[in-house]
Amino acid sequence: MKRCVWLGCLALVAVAALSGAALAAKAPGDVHVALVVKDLTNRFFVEMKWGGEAAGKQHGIKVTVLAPEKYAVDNQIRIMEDLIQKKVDAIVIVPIDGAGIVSGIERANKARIPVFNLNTLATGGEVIGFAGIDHVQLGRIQGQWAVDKLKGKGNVVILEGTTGASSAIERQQGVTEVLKKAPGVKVLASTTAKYNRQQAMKVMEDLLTRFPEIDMVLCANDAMALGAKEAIKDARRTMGVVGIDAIPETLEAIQKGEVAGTVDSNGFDQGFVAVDLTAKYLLKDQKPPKDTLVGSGMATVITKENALAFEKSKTEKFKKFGIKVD
Amino acid sequence: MTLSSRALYRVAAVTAILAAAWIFVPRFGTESNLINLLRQAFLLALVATGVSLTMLVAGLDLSIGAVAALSSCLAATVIVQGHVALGVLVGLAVGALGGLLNGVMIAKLKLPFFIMTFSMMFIVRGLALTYTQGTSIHGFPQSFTWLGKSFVGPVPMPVVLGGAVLGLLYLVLTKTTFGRITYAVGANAEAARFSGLAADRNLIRVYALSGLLASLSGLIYIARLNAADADLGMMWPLEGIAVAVIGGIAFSGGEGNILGLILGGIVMAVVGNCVNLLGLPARFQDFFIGFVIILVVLVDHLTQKRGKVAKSLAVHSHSVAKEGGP
Repeated sequence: MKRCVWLGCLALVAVAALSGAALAAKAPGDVHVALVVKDLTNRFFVEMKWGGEAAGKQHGIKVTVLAPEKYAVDNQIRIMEDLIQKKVDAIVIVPIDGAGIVSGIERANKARIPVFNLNTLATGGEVIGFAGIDHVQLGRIQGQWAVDKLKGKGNVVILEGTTGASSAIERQQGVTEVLKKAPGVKVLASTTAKYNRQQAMKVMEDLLTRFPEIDMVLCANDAMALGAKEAIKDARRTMGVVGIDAIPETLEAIQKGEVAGTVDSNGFDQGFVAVDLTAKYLLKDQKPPKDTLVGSGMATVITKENALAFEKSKTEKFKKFGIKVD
Repeated sequence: MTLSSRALYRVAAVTAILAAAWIFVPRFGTESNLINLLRQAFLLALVATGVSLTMLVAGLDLSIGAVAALSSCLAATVIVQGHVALGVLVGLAVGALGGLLNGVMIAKLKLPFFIMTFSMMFIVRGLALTYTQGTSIHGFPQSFTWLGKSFVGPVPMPVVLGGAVLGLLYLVLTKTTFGRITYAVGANAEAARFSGLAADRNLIRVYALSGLLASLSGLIYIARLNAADADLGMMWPLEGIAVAVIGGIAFSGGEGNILGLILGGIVMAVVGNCVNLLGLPARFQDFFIGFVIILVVLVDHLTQKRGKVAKSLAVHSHSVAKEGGP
């Protein structure tokens, strides 16, 4: 009798072990990870997509990258719902709004689909891990560079990102934190240009009228830096313009001396690390670390001195993963 | 007709707004600011032409921003290769084609204009995104950027171009059969059809023209920005509607003077400009514009009520007299 119980237990354990093994041993080709980013019109997220796809290729899994047509978190939730219906194996989410995305993550939790959180921290729901560069840190790096460049004295204006977007709030937080510590640097104005080139040009035109003396324009992304630069050029004024994201067009403008600098936020590495960790979790049952700060330590300001070298190293990285850059 | 008195009231209102801004907003009256303002106003008026024309036929074109983005990105590709004239032609052709498609679906297949142009907005924006992959096309030759950047005397080129286009549209709408049919179709499409007017063909032409004007606005914008990306004109349908409504184009169709768009453009530009000059948070701009629209339409309603009977009689006899015969 005792023996029977023993055997029964053993059988149960074996079945459990086998089914567990079967789950872990899903062929890589059948594993489907979805990466949901904020906006695919932005080069930064396009590079993030490339990074995710490159990691997918390395593991031999299928990676699809999606973004909402409208920059709104509920549209991201809708995408997540579709992905849950499709029964993807995991979702990597870059929330437009860290609080707003929670219900989407909870729905995935209920459907037992693992969620990995990338770039912008979600405030709730269960995720297998988080990776990403800290936007506050990016803002700090930009602000510190500006203070150093101005030798602690001068007039600056700030073009903020989309009002309410967490990346905009955090980048702004980092910038102002540093500028507050430099009493010689005066913030003449700080206003949003919605991360948009067209808007930035218009806002900058007005700011140029309002302030006869501006030494530096700090922009929360490169698209705004490029719009502002165009307005400054047209007004025949000179001042430093610094962005964030390090998109190719800015690197070109830096080499031409039209933009002073930009901060690299490493979209490719972020996408790569997130998909890599998720794939390892699915294929090898490796639990990702709770927090992975992708390259935030090595985020650098790119200026005329290092722009060319930076561009080269980036192109080489893309080449290595077989990504074609126009 | 009461139209002239309504136009007069609008001119007076805009003059009052300008005077108030001149007195209360520092640096508003400086030469450089007025030039900026004029340019922003005429660009807005130009953007609103497509929306307005379709409103005149009791429709609406929500796809203008997307059509502008796709057509100008395609044009930009050709222009950066040095073929400026060809690029401009490509842009205009793509715009007209997009508009034509809208028109055919609405006039011949009887799709509701809202559904058609709304879907078109998504489709075309999607195409633009797919085409650019989130990058920008930039670095135009001077033989193209003059469209947005040069001056005629002290007057910026976009003002000259915008003025010319609006003047031309005014003549077309008031002096040609096409124009008369446009107003008649907008006032009462069925009646126009019964009286033997080619209502369908007119609709198709109006939407095609809207697409063409959208691509023209797009070209001038990218010349100004010195870069084209799929992000262009995200807010255009809404801004266009605001300009049109403030400019006196009736949503119900068949009513409004296209030159009113200049007033609408000025009001929108002044509000944005003053918010920036006064250093108010950018959200105040949306707030004020909402207010201004309601105010304008409300006063319109009140002034209209008084002369309503007389006016409707006048319009009636007018249209019967002009469109009675085959």
